[in-house]
Amino acid sequence: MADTLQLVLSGLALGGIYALIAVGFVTVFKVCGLINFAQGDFATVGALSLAMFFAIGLPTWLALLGAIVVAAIVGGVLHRVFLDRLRDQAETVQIIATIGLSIVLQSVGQLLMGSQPRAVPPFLPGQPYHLMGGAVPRQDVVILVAVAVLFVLLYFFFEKSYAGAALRAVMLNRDSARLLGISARSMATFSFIIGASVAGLGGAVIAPVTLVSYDMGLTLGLKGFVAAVVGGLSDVPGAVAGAFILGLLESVGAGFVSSAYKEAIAFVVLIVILLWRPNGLFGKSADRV
Amino acid sequence: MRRKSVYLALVPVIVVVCPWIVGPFWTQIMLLTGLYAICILGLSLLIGHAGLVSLAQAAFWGIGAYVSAFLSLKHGFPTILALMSGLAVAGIVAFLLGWLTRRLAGHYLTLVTLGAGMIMNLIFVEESWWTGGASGLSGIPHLSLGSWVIDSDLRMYYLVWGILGLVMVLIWNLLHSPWGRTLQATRDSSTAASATGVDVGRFKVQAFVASGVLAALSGALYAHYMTFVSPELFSFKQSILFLLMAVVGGPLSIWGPIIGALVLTGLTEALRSVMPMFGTDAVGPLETLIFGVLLLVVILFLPSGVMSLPAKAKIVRGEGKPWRRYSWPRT
Repeated sequence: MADTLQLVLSGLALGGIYALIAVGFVTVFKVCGLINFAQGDFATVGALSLAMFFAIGLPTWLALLGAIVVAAIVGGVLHRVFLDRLRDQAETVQIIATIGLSIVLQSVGQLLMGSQPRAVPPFLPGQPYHLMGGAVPRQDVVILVAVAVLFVLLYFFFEKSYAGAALRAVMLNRDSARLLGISARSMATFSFIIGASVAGLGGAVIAPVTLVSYDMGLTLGLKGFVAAVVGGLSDVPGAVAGAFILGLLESVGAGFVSSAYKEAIAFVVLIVILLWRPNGLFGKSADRV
Repeated sequence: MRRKSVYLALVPVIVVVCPWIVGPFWTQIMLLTGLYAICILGLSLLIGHAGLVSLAQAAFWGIGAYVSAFLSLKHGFPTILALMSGLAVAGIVAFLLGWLTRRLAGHYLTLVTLGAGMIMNLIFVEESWWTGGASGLSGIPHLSLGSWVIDSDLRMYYLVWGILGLVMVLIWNLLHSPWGRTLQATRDSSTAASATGVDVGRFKVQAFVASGVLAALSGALYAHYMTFVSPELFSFKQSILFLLMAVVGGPLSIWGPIIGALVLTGLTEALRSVMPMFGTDAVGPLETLIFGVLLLVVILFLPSGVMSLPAKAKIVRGEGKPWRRYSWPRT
């Protein structure tokens, strides 16, 4: 019982991180119609900035805020100066372009911090919490709280603010939104800023658990994408649910398959979902993708 | 037309005399160029003509290399037979991957191939009973036909470029056959193609198999030439390098792969000789950064690669048709 609880909680924490990446995928996909292969690398940007802010001695909350701001700036600038120019190009060209961005971000990260993974102190130092006989690491709790707070904020942003409404309008129908005077270009940049800052937060809160390394974004990005696909790639709550499902599957499944092949679980989930329900577990019709 | 045939007839002559003119160092670079070009031809078929971006090409390259190395090293297979087995295994894996993903295109497919490549790389690291684990396999025998062992750079150079020539002729014929036209039709509009009765999925699977087998051929040749393989040779980074080679040369042209492979192999060698000035530690990331920036610059300013330049120049001069042949289809 205690073991199961522990597995479930760590699965939820893992799922929370995937959810943060997946939200970025969905937002960018719905506004710009493209899958950003550099999405996971924004998490690296967040984690790396956090490590740097810690190194210069900032308090935790300021370092966390700084990490999110840096990721947001990187996302916005990359879209404005680069991806925006490719919006009329073939899909193949856009795919290759975001792969290129991912490589550039990774190698800049490696130049800044070297190839060795770097440890970051936990946000709440101390012994794990004890809950019903199981030990819950404090950072897992931090992650879950951060994810919960963020989703409440995102909900209010999308539902209550003018900018959120404009973003939703572009997601629904870009041409009609343009006719209403909403700049699709600004909204595209905006979607990148949201995607990058959310992923940056994810990278920052997971940093104390997994260490910061320049290529951590690659697997995080792939997992976030799988989560988004499980949810149907077009709907934020679905993506969040998909992320938690994936996190739980990985956490529980790691006990059944060898830990070396734990990474393969996400891939198997991706293939199964794409074959069985291309529109996601919660999608309505099962059209071909 | 006649001038073109003369140029084409000159190419084999240049290839044959090249090693005698450029010396041993450049012979080695030209050898690697030819080797990579075989793999890139496969990738270009997939990216340019089928419209599918694959990030698993290095993994197929690795399957060819590992299977051939394992069979010839551990089980004493004749090298040719081992090489053929490598191609067969890669073909089967490519078929499975292609068949599973036959309904996918665009971003979905690219991410699936990224995941597949990562899993295959994981297998190379974990299944050490046949791959040697992280340290890889060394002492792989050179290719041989009876008593004729291909152990010098010069022999390998002629073998590789001979094979490359055959592959180019084969691909050119394929692309100008009904099969190639249909493949391009499925790329331009899979809806229209399937409306005319084309089994779009089947064509994609076939393109996948062709591409995987070419990658494996190149990989097996590489393993028997280097006599050493290790997992990081077949990683995500290598797939990106292959993608870059395809994009730089131009994935819609039959000569593009050679140009792309030459530019990138030359650049790698040049960096290797310049890098020590900056301190040896920075070689890896700086190299990757340069490749990443190069990929971005090419895709931004010359999305159809170097091979689109002559056609572009014609338009600037006001001659010829708008460059249809070398530009990406907009779907």
